[in-house]
Amino acid sequence: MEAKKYVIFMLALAFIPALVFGYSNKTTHPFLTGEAIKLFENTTGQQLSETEKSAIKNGSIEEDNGVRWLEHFYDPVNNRGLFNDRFDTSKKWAIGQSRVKNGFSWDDAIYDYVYGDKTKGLNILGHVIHLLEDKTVPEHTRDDPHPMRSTYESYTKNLNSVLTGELVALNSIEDYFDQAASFTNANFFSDDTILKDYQNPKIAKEINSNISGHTWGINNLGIKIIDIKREIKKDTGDVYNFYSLTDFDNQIMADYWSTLGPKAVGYSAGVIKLFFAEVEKEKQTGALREARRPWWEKLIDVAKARIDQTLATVSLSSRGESDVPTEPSGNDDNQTEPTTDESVQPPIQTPAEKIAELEARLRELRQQLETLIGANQTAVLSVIGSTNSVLVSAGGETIDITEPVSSTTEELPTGLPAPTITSPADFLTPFTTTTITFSGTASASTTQVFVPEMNNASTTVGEDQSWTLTISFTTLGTTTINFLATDGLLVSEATPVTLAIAEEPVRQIFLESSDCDQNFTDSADGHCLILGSKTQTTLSWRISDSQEYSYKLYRFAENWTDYNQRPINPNNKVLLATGGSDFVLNKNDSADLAGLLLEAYDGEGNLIASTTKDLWFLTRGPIYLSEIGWAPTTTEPAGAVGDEWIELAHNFPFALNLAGLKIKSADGQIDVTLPSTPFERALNIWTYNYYLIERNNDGVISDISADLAIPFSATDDGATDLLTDTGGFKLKLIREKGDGEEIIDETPTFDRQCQSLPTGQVCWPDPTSAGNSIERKQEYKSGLNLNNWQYHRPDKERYGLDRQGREIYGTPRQKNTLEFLSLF
Amino acid sequence: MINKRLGTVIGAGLMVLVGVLVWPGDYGWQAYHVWQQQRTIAGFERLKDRYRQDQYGGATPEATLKMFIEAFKAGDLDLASKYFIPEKQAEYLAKMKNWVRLGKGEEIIKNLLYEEKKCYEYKKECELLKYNKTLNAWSTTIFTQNEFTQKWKLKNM
Repeated sequence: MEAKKYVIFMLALAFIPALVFGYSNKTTHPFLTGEAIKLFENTTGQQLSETEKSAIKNGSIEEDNGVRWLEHFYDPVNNRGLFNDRFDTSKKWAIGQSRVKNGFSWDDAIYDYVYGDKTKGLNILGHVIHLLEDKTVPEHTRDDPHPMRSTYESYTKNLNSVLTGELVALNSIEDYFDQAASFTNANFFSDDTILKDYQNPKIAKEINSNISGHTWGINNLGIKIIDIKREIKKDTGDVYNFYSLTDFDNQIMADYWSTLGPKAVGYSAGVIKLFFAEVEKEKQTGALREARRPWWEKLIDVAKARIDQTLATVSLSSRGESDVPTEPSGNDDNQTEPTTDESVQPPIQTPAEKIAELEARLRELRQQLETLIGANQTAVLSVIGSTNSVLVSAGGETIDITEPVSSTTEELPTGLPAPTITSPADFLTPFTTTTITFSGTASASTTQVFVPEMNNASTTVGEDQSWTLTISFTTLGTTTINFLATDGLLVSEATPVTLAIAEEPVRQIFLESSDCDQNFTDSADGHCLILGSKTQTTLSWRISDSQEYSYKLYRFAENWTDYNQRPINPNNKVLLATGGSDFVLNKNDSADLAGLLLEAYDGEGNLIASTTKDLWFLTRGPIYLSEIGWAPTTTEPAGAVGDEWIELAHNFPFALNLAGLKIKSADGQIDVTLPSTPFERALNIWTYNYYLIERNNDGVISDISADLAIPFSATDDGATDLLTDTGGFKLKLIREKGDGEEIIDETPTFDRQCQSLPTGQVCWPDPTSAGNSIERKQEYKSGLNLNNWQYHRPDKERYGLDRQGREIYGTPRQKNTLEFLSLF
Repeated sequence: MINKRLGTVIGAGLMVLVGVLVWPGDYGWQAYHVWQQQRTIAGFERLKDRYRQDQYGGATPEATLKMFIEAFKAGDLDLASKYFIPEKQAEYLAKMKNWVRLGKGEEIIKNLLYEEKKCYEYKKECELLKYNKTLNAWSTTIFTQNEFTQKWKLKNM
């Protein structure tokens, strides 16, 4: 059954083509394998038939079938497989110690060659050789899957010659993987691990290339491993070093191949030699066959030993030399006090007769066991069961017939809904206990919920689909665990939970800058807006208790995308400061964000608290006036008087506070105080969030709800248009500051004078008579610039209906018609 | 004798109990591993799908660069970012927004001008380059060909 499921699963995945290759399985692997066979033959004098050679070559091709490539990586520095060991190393895969059953392992090759089909054994050897050849591909030893394309793999794809190497003779298959992977990892780069993630290779020296502005980086072996180009940054004009595996005349790749190709051949030839040596050893010792005997067959040997042992004791007893029990049954009472029903009473046996009968029965079973070699599990267990009964009667030790827990795996499909978690409700506040009880619900068919990361802590799902699971955490700090449900066959998607466990009492850690604006965000929520075009700020940090701690300050993000999408991990943490209690942070020239992580350590080096803060260096206010629905035209319809609206926007990935903000017009007719409600976050970098203010009531735009419906001033009765004063109008978004006001954003003065300006300018009244809104082109450019505003373009999409159900020529609560009309 | 039989029964019971406890753990772990495997495959497939469906780009690197510059000049940064390979679109959109914000658009366009073209057929990659003798340095724009649509995509600039 297990095998059947495995086959079905693998067949299903076999149709998924691989994105990640080492050498090409169509060209390079069979070529290298053929060269390895030649080297083996030339070195050892042993000749293989064409059939045998084909079997090995075919195996080296077939190892890339389906999703087997997921197990083709081995980073010897960190002893990990692909994706930080999400998948097993190819070494484990090759020697049959992977979590997923391989079926084409080194031992399988030897076993099949010796006891089964020799051709199949050689085919499996080809699979193992493929794995070893991949260990001379840098990507495969540096945890770099490099989806879509790899420079080295592409370069080698169509090569059909390789320098002659020497057969490398090592003692074990493990040694081959360790040595090949270590050599490649330490001396060569892959596309995505150039001068990062690993300490080696180092550029021992640079030599001039034949191209201006280029040098080659040479490693300790004297091999060209990198092209170093003086490159001009397109945004600043600065010159920096650009590192690449690609150079003009492919000398780097030629060096890679001339070193790694012979290594692949030499190691593979050595493995073929080792294979035939291991085959001979197996023929002598049979060790592999013994290890592979089914567990129930091994029980036969145990049973024989137990019977022999018991027979010896029974024989002694029959000669009166032992005090072993002579009672055939454990029921003493039945033996000493016969029942009154004489008709069913068995004939009374003497002790000697009983011993003789027991002895005979044991000998009979002993004979049966001899005939069971090669029998199926049911037949063997039946006889072992009988043997156990007789052994109990004889007072002997019984045989454990429990099947050992298998180390092989079974492939299971998924398809169940993920379990839901209803309690705890809050995962943002750190827990002050290390034991947390989770509860929730799971889909009707599931029977169990489990957490792989917590040693598979599991619980059963009740009839009402509820479940409760208590987990004891052994480490403090932030951790992510996944809850999965299963019905015994299928496994659901995961429900991930990220939580933090703090020591009691909860220490508060502060990372602060006096430049952070105190109104738009709450400093406690980790966001900091620095207004006023500042380019640096001083950060300080502390912890709420009075203990001595050491600190590390990291930067983990420099732009919106990093901040929003990338979890903090060692690869994107850049250490800014160690120790101390303050640091001057300079704004990066090409970024407006600094995502910071502060860690505090106790005297023993234990991480005891951490916090994050994102600093945004802004040249303008974070909220801007985005669109104005001034509605009136020279042909304004009756009933539309006073139907005006204003749209605000922002693009931050968190909510901003509106408290303290006002929208005012220059002539004082408009004076709107914004409420202290949050202005919600933008969903992603592509979008903005909008805040719609409708004048007096929510019916101005009849099919879109306003965020705020309010009179535009204390005396506003809605009887006249406020944005059509003959002197024009100008709006300001301001924040009251002492006796004055701070301008967050403002528009130019829109007045009737603009009627004579070129098309595209904002004029009043609207010459199109369509009642177009006025919309901002770029939020980054000053709102004061008249060129940064335009009519809603009537050829573009529009949204919303007015009070009479007519189309509004605008985009209230939507992206403006063209976010950026022109750059320069 | 009774004690011995009792011991046997308890022993067998314990073995069954251990089996019951160990089996779901082992089973759960295996299931988790398969889930990881499927998740990885799905991730790669999603990336491949993005390439399959990606119709942005020209038949030559030069054509793609022209399309990019036109979109960039027009201020349609969403469109301009789509000429990059899918993995880098968000990264370059953010960069472009910063460039615009910092008023560096003209400088970017200027530095995209090229005088030479170098292609690496084996990896379906081309570079459009300009050498600055004074700085002894290059301004390079790297392109790669989408193997599904044959369109040329921006990879790095």
